Amino acid sequence: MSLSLKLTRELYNNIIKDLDRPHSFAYERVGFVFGRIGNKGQSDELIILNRYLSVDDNNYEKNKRVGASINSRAIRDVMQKALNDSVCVFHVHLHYGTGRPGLSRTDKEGITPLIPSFQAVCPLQKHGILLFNEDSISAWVLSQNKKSFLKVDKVSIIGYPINILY
Amino acid sequence: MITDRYSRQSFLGDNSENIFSNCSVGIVGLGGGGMHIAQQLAHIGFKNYVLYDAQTIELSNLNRMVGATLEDVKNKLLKIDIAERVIKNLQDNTSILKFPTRWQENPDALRGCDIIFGCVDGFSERSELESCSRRYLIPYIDIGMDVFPPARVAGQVILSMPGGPCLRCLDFLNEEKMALEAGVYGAAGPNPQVVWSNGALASTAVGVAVNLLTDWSSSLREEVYLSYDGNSNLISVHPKAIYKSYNKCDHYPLDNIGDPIFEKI
Repeated sequence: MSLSLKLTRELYNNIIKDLDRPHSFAYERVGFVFGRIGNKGQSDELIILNRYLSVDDNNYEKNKRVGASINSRAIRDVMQKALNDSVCVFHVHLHYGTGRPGLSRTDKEGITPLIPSFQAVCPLQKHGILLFNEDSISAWVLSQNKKSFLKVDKVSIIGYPINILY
Repeated sequence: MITDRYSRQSFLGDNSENIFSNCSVGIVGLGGGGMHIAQQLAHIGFKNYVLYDAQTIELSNLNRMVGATLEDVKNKLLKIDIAERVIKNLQDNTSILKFPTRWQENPDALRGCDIIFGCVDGFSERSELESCSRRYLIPYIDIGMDVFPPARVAGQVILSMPGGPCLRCLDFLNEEKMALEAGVYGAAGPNPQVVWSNGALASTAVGVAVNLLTDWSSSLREEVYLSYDGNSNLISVHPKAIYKSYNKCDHYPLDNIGDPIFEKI
């Protein structure tokens, strides 16, 4: 089975613009992107992202050990949206550099434990992690058994122009 | 890197060959327009196709179906099989999914396409195809032509980009046209079609798709609504795309994406 993910160029630009804003004390920003599954159960499963939620400045916590730390209120708001609207949830943040980005050790320790909570409130959709950098996107989706993350094979930015990243 | 075969289209960018060979295109309708598109895409380097057409070739198709032969008519071949042959005569290592049905009967494969070309008859068919494209965030390129009395040949190429104006926003589709559709699409007999008009429209559609995928011109940044005047042989921007500015599409809000979900009330 292959996994693909799509978002419009407008959404992509909005996410980048938000994540690139400086914060008063956090080294980086994080956000959450929502969407829905398309073609569920088929050999080419698709996740279509359509909304972005910026984490409010007040929901960041001071933590010098990591680039950004957000409080439980921010996470509860996201879980509530997943429950209410039955949507996919992807944690998103930005690395600098070019080429297909990878999760750092801090990312793996800090972000991956979050994702099962979204799966718990909305088991019918898929949830995971998005990582942007200057010219590419990587994405991972939590497997159904919650034991591992599957790398998304193809990410498409739909707009003028279309960018398809493998 | 561009191989020798595609050296004449190197202006499309160093990565263009890679883009085309990995892109998946859906072509709904393999008649005069669709077959032109399939042939051109194969020439350019596209390797992955999802094809839909329920029909078998008839003698009257030979006035416009490029790649089709008299032998095909004698053997009563399916149009999708002819399209597959045309593609495979130009490309190896292809992936071609063929459905001798209406696309609505086998929609799953279409949803995985990167671009869909609609070469169908009728406004309601176009509307349904565009709805599917929008739901799965797939750019949809529509082509069509007709002959109007006394002898006016007209057609269109429209790019329906998710998030941007749709065929309804552009007033190409509206309820009045849909209501009048049955038996009244054009007025010169059963769907008049000629190869040169099909070719002009198909070539334009392919050009739009290539531009969208490679951004070779760095100029395609908004909706495409081109009208074809077959009498003066002009393809020009439709007045509705010149004189009206479009905000977000209200007909296909981006909340309505992905598989439909059912909620208990």
